[in-house]
Amino acid sequence: MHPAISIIVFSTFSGVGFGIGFWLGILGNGIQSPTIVIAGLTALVWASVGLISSVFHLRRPTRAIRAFSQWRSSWLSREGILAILTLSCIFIYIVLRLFNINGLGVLIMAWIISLLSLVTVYSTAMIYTQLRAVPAWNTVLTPLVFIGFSLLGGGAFCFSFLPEFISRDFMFVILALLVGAWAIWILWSWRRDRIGMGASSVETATQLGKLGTVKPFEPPHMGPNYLTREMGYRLPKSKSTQSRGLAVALGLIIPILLYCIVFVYQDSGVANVSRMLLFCFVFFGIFISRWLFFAESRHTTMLYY
Amino acid sequence: MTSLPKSTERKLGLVIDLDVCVGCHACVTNCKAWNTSGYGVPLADESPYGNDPSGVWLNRIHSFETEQNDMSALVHFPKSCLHCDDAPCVTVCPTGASYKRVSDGIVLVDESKCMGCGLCAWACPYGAREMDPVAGVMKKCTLCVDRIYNENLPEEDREPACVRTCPTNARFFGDLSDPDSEVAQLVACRESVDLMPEQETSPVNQYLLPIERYGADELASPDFNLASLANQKSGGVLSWIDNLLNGN
Ligand code: SF4
Ligand code: SF4
Ligand code: SF4
Repeated sequence: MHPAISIIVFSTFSGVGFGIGFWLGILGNGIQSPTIVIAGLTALVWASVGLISSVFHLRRPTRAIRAFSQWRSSWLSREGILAILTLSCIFIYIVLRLFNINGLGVLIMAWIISLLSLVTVYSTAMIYTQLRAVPAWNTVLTPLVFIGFSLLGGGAFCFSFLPEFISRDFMFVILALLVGAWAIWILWSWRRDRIGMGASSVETATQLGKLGTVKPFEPPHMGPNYLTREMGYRLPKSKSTQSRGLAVALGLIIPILLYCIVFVYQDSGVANVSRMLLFCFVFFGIFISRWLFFAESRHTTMLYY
Repeated sequence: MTSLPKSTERKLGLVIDLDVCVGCHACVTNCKAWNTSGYGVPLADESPYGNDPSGVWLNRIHSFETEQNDMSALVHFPKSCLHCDDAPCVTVCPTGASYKRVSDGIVLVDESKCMGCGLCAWACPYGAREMDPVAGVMKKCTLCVDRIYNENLPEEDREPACVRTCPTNARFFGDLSDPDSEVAQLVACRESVDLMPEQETSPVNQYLLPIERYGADELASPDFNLASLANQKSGGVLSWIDNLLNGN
């Protein structure tokens, strides 16, 4: 599938934004107001950058408002509504906290933010998961990949830039997320390599299997068209291996080294720099993995070519 | 609403005879000609006279080669929207632009609502939807909805442009839910198939498989000799011409 930059920015940035939203809801009630406001605003900015980027993918962006109408059937529609709802809740929550309004209602609201953030990321993933025509995406692992990277991205952001969030327990949660999210990704990639076109093949696509082996003889058009550009993107094998290595190196291995430095040299200058770099590397890693999520997945339409 | 109807009153669709299609692209051309000036915005072409021409077509002909026991066959394979009963392209649409009609089962795009996100083209396993590069809206086969009910056209023209134009009668149009219709009878008497049944789209359009003229055993037997088929004896005037041409 064509790896459109607008969509990759959409899902990675909104993933980090809602990831911060999740941790804000879980941990926020114990944290002082200025930090919470900063955390909330960063969540809003990351998620909004993602949502705005998704509008650039549309050929008729002025009609984007219609996308909120079909929540009964469409995951894309649900995603839009949930994203706006979650962002509104985060906004109201930080305004309340800004004016030092606390209490049971505010506490519950924080939990609702966490829940909504998760559900929003889930619905982002479902936009792709629901497509049977892309067998690599059509698996329960896809929402796990998206949620894993969202929690990791948001958690790593808090770890790097919002020191008030970091308790000893949270330190370990970050390590677990790093290992867990990347393990799910590696499992997803492993499955992707094996699934190919899933149950579909040129024989099922043409139903000519009865006549023997089937192979494409002549395409309907000489040059590329919308279908081959959109669905026929192929990543050369060498580039695929490189990019996969790069994603894991940037997103997992370097962050683990940085994490160890932070752990060993607590509160020194070197630890502070490493702490901040950790999120940057994690995010690069997630970004490349999301690019691969599109670039390496194949669509059944290409069975006809 | 982009929810699918539970059932449709009729199932209008095409039946395509793979035994007959000669891959002439006449239906492709007439489809483009009719639809570029019919329902919805014109079907745009990009750089039609340049080095890298590309354009939107609602119907395309692929060709496949099959091979068994050293015998190969060339099968021309027209492909347009199958107007699926469980159309995944409809339910994914966030704007309500894509819909399936209850009255006849045709899957259409309301171009005034489409925002050009392209998700429906990703959802269609068959590659039956193409984005218009100029208007930025999704195009697909309309089953020539502006012909089949069009009372300004003579009766015989009230069928899809591709069906009307096919010089070999490889394409048929009708109501597949009516067992008495021509299309339903064709489907009943020939070996007919759904494309990619594993995608669970329940296509309405049906494909009639090439007729097997020789069984597998016959093909495998050493006595089977294709050249003998060409060695027909002629008589009368034809034999006189034959002899003349052969210089006997
Ligand atoms: S063939 Fe494709 S575009 Fe047509 S109804 Fe089926 S899924 Fe939708
Ligand atoms: S491209 Fe248009 S018709 Fe297709 S899903 Fe998007 S809004 Fe709906
Ligand atoms: S029914 Fe009409 S729109 Fe569909 S392929 Fe035939 S000519 Fe084209």
